[in-house]
Amino acid sequence: MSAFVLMFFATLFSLALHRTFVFKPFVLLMIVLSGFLIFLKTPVLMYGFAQSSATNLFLLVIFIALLAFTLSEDKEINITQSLFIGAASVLLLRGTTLLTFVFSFEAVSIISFAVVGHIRSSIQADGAVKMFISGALATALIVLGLALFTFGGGNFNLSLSNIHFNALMEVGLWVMLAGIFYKLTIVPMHSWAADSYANIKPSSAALLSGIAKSVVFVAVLKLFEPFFIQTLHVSIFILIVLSVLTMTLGNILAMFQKRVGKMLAYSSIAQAGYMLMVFIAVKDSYAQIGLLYLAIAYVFMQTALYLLLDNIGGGISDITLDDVKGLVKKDRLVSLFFAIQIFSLAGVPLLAGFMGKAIATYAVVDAGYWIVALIALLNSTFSIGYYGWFIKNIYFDHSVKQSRVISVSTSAKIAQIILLGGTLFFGIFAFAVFHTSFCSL
Amino acid sequence: MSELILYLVISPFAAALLAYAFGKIDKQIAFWISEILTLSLFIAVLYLFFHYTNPISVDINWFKFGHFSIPIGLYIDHLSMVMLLIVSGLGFLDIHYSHDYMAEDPHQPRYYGYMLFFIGGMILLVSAKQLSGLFTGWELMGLASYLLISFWHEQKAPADSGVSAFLYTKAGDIFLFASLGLLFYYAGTLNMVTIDHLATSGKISSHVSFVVAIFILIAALGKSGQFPFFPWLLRAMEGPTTVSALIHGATMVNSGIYIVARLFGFYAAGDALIVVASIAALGVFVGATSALVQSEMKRVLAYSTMSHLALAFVGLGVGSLAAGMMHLSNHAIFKALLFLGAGAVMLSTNDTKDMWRFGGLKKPLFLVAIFMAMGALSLGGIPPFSGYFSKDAIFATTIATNHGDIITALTLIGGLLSIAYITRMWILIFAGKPRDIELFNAVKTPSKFWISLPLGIMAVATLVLGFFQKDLADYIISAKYIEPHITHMMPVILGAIISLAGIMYYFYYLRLDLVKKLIAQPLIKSIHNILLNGYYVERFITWFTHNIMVDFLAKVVTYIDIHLLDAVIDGTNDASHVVFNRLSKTNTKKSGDYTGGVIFLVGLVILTVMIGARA
Repeated sequence: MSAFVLMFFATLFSLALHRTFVFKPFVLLMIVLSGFLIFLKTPVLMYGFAQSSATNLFLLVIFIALLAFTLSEDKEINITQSLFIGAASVLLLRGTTLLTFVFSFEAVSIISFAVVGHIRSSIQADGAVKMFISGALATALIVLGLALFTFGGGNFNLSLSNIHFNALMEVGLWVMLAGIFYKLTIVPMHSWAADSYANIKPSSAALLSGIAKSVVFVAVLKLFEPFFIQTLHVSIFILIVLSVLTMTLGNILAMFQKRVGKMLAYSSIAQAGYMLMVFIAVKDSYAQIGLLYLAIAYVFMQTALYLLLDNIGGGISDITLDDVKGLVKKDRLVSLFFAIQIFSLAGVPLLAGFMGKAIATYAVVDAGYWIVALIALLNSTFSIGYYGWFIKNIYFDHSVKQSRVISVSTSAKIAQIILLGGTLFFGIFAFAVFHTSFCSL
Repeated sequence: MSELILYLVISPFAAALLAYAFGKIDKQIAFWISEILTLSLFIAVLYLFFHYTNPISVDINWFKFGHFSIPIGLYIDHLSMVMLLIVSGLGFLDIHYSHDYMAEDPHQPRYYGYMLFFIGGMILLVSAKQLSGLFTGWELMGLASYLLISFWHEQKAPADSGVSAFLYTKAGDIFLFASLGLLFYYAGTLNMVTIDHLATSGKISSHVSFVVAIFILIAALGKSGQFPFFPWLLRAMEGPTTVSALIHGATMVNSGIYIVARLFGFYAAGDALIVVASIAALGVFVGATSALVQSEMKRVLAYSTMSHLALAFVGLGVGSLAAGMMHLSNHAIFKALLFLGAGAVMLSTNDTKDMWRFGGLKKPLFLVAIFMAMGALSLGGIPPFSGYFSKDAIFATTIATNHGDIITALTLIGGLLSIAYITRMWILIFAGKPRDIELFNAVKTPSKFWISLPLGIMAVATLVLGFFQKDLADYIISAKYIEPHITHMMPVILGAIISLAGIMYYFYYLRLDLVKKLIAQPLIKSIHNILLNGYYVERFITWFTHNIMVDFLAKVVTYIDIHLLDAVIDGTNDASHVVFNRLSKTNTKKSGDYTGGVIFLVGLVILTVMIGARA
């Protein structure tokens, strides 16, 4: 039995357990068991799927993040949906053909709509609807691209290696990529994310921006790598412009935000820019490990931060910097979680975020695009501005009276410890990733 | 073997956390965790010692990509082994002793946590293969030292002393950090054995070696509390006496000597040993003379530590690795013994440090008096105690190699004076009549098992080790050690030592009134004051840092910072506000507008591909 099958049926069965005390234990057990199946390398017994040590490592990371999510979240329906995201991730990361990619990508997307369906206020409705519109448009583009690709003579039931791409096929794949980039919040298609991530329930944003997004990134590099390598002379221009724009705009717009969720949303857009940057260096042998590392680090940091936001606000989505002022006096542990994960996002050494950025930048320099790497580094220093500002608010400001921050439950703290452990582990024991590095994704 | 070494390096840190965490439940748990762990460390080191054949090397590659790799290596050879024996053995005895010494303290978990943390740092330092690992241990240990000196941080003096120790040592550490960079650039490696080898075979230019060696020496002098960095060592005596014994008497202060010994070939190749010898000879003299007039027993011991470590530095400086390391090992044992003995006296007399209030304590504290006497004899250089042999070896090498009359003279005078101040100290504490009757009557006899036993073990060790000095020297240099022979040296030195002891006996035992009269004499009083204040070195450094560094240099830099750099940076703040506000307009919050971006991108993509495909 593969992890996919187990997760899939666990999803269905967990519906029956809602509002019973066995629900959470059951879900936790299923996630652990699935993680164990990944560890045992049981294959998905279907055509078009294959596994590698790198994707298996990444799946383990995803499952650890899901474990933390389950511990931290209190809405049972969200937990069930997160299980489905886990199941779909297995397919998405192991798929080797366009077809498997498209349908598992849709599986992840559809469940994303369901996740944001938890609407309790008009702000959240705004976020959910924007998410839905963008998702529909992205799907349309992907299917359009697939159609163009097929008209050009491509077979979507094969992997993309060893294919000679003609112009129509290239256009098709690029239209498809445009759809995917839409979901990946690449500038100029980022604005929906800035609204959605900031307006929906923060724990949903944790699932979407922390887990789903990084899964898609890794899957895209894995699937489209041969395509990028073959047509890099054409696409390099697009990739450079998009990645530089994305990271710069994301960082600038994150700078003076008053709402924490909005700041994190823009920071997430900037992070997408860093990840896209690795695609420029796709021919370099460090590109894959660079992206893998970035994605792993990102899963821990982003999930942790949005979950924290959810915890301290009790699910409301418009926590502002004023609310978190002087948080350290109320809860030192939570402040520490915030600080370390933020430091990791900013790229402080010995934390996973630093290693991710370091290797990604190394790959880009190695591939000869040192100017892009330089821009990324400048952006990185730039970002310390608003990350530091956030920390300053937590640690050095006096709290305001109307603060809506509530106390955080123990299980949520355990979840944070798990995520913190990931950030620290992958920051210090880099060889865990390097071991898998040179087997390709 | 390599698992055992990993255990040595990692377990103290883990135990430190455990001791702290579980100590909150019951203080006894913290003690027993520490006791058992340090005992296990000592047993592990003994096992390594007896099963040692070749240098043991553990290589871990932290990570590697491209041409870039960060290795973390551990390396145990004879030199490290001697240090490990000292650290783990004395560490265990010190923890054992702490059971009673710290019994009244409410913050024991914190104490044991710090102590184990320190031991971990020290073990890492002596077993590191790369300078980077050594530096890590060096800094962790510095942190532990700071935390332990200011352990009673509710009081002002310990808190200030901790800061002072941190700053003094940190001033040196910067140079060590710089030398790491220089070595990595010029030698291409931080592996200390390789560096030694490269320098000896002339692969590193001697100019570079000299500069780097001086940089490392500055750090070593800082860490070992040597002239002119010694003021922190004196103030460190504000910490618990167990801390003074282990950290500021027996182990941490040795790390400066260890690093010079570890890079001995490098120092020789860079012609830097003469610098080591010159500065250290001055230290021997300054420390010994200052120790002569102190009235607090811990300060006597601190100056004596400075003087004796300087002696070990001289041993290295005049070219004898064996003599320097021998003295280091001997000194570690007898100095820990003397410190803990002083601690026992303090424990029994309700924390009195002033020796002038004691006198006649040998009756109630008989065992302590005996053991301290043995330590004192070893420190003074009386055969067959171990201190005699290493001191003798240093004297002989200094005279034989003749690096200049001043070095020889300062070393000999300073080295011989040690018998004078230690006799004075012992007589003032234990002999004669009680000078403070109230204090004398309140003296409690310390526990035999917790206090006297560790003292006894160390006292026996310092005696027994005297018979194995040749083996120790051979072991350290892994070759036959030949001491230079100087005719008539032994009778002359012994004669000097005994007459010095006699003079002290006369003044401090028979004619104590004469001492008080002497001090009242104006000329002697002014000399006395200079010595009492350690040649006013601390006052000079304070003056220098306060007036030159803070009031002048720092102000200039601050001015430039505020009016030039900050002005520019503040400007970017406004600029980024403008950019932010402009760009924020792109976020219209209308879904329809966002779709425009998609269409723009799809258009761009199709155009690019079309143009690209044509080209």
